[in-house]
Amino acid sequence: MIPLFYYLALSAIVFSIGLFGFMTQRNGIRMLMCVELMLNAANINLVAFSSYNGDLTGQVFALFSISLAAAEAAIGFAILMSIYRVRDMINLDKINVLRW
Amino acid sequence: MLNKHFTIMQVLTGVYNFFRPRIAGMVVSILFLAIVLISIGFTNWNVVDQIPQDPMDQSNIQGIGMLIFTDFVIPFEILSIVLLATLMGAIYMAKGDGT
Repeated sequence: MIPLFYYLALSAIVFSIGLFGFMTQRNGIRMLMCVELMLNAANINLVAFSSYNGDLTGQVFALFSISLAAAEAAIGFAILMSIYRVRDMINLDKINVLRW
Repeated sequence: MLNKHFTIMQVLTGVYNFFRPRIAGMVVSILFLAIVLISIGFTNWNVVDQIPQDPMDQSNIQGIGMLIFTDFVIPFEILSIVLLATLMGAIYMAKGDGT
């Protein structure tokens, strides 16, 4: 049986890659991808713990987390579209004014 | 790209220039990874010794379905309302003022 440590290590690695990408990206779309990466790392943890404790609650919660991640991505892209419509670029370094 | 002759120094400087603006991010994420890995490594999880797998029915879709509609009905309905609101909000924001 694969020890649980490997699943948690994989999830930590994927999360830190997403964190690295999230911190250093200037493009809005790439940053949303990295947020998705972090959410999927959390899902890996949820399913790993739920299957290793013989209790399905974690997998149900992972299902909810996946759908909320989809909702969040939809809102994120809608915001980026409206920003692009106003500014013709999504370079998050230059968007620092809340009301323009 | 393939027919050029790169010296080792050019490759190294190229890699360094790529990572130069991102070094702070790399340091933070590597430190985070180290902390989490060490903390995961040294805790012994009370794990069920054998994953409950009956070879006949490998998938647990039935279990998840039963669980969703018995214990987690309210979160399931709230989730549908949240997704509906997200749909409305995203379409409204993305529609723009129709110019």
